[in-house]
Amino acid sequence: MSGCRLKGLRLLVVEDEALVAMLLEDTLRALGCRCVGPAGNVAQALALLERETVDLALLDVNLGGGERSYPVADALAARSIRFIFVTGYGASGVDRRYAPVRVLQKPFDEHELAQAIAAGLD
Amino acid sequence: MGGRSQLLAAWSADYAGRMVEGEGQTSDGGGERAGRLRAEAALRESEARFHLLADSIPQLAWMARPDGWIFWYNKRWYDYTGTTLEEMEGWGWRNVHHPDHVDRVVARIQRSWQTGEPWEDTFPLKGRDGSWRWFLSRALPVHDDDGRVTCWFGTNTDITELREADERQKLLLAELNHRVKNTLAAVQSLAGQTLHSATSLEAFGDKFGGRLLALSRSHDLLARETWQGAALGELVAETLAPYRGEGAAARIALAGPAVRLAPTAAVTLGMAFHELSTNAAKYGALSTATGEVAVDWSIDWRGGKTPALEICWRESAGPPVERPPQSGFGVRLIEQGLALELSAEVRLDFAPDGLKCLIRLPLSAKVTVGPLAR
Repeated sequence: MSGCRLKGLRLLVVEDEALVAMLLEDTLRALGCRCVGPAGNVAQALALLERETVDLALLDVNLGGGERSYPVADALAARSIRFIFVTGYGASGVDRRYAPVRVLQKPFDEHELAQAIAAGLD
Repeated sequence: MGGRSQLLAAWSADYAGRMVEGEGQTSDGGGERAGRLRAEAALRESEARFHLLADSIPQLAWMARPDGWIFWYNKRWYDYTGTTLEEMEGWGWRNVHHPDHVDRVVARIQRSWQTGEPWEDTFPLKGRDGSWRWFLSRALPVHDDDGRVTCWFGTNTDITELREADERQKLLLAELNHRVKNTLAAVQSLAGQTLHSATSLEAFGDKFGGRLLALSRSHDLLARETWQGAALGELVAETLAPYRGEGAAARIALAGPAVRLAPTAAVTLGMAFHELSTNAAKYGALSTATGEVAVDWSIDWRGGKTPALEICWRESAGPPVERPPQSGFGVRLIEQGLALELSAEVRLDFAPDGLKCLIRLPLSAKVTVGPLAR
């Protein structure tokens, strides 16, 4: 299916929880994608965005310590780079400003992630 | 029911009494006069009873004319708002309403004045000290025998604490749901990574079970503190507790100041300590009867840099140590995971005389100094 389309894609991963970030890294590798990051906070993510090429981004919403990934979402939007929210809260946990943005609910499997990425590209 | 309508009649009488004040006196006959004096005495008594009741109820209370002009407040209203009847009379009450709410409040209450339907609203009112508290407010019309509204009786009930508790509960539920989903993703990650490096199904079962228990231990600590956080000292102590066997306590030494960890930081650090502990038990200082483990932590306050928590895990008097040929989950978590999640600088040193792990964590909202607020 979407497998070949995803090969070689560069995905920025913003996720603060180490275990979940590792899962995203491993799942992306299994899909043949390249993981940019992961970044654990907004500053790291913005720094990566400055110097790396990114095709699509996967953003956790709540980055712990009260920080949210919305500034990264806005920076991506300004560069016309699409992004997907990956969150435990589901769609209800995302600010209404981003209502049209796709939300992938944790936990997810390889197939769901592949589908979300493919849909995010369209 | 009868008692209530009598009371309401008394309130109406109080209102009506004020309305006729100032009208000219007419001469009365003696019997009429005595009857009137009795009636006045009864009215005064009724009014005194009413004020006693009105001032002792826990609510703020008020009465308004059918057109909404407020002519009376109970003592609690003045005590709370720090105002006078002169300031409040009529529409003066708008001055103690919040600018964000007052237009809505006025629109809704005017609708009730016009339709005669009971009124209910929730809004903040300004106290005498300038702070705002939330009130659930209700007003009921008092009708005469012909069904006409003679006055309104209203109350404001302070629900600030109720609202705060409600907010806390909503937040807690949303947070709990989020945590459950994230925890399931973490378990999925543990399962995948453990499976990846497992040589047999048995080995997988052992390792995965241990990691799941480590996760559960962090959650126990967090649950004890209603998910506010966990104390670093307790996290390390509980992780190493299984290895503090008979006579072994002395070979595990922990020391450091009180440090609070936010929930996600506690989970990740708990997993890191679990990996260090199981490694020590399998290959390091805890694999022999005489090896020692010391975990010390301190805060580096040196100026110019963000203050940081420095944790030092040091094994000694154990078997000679070698770096494992391929780095597995534990090394990845400690070297990369801590850097990602807590901006940590990590030095994992497989020194021949014992493994050393130095973790430097900048203080942040996730890592703070001091005991847990209990």
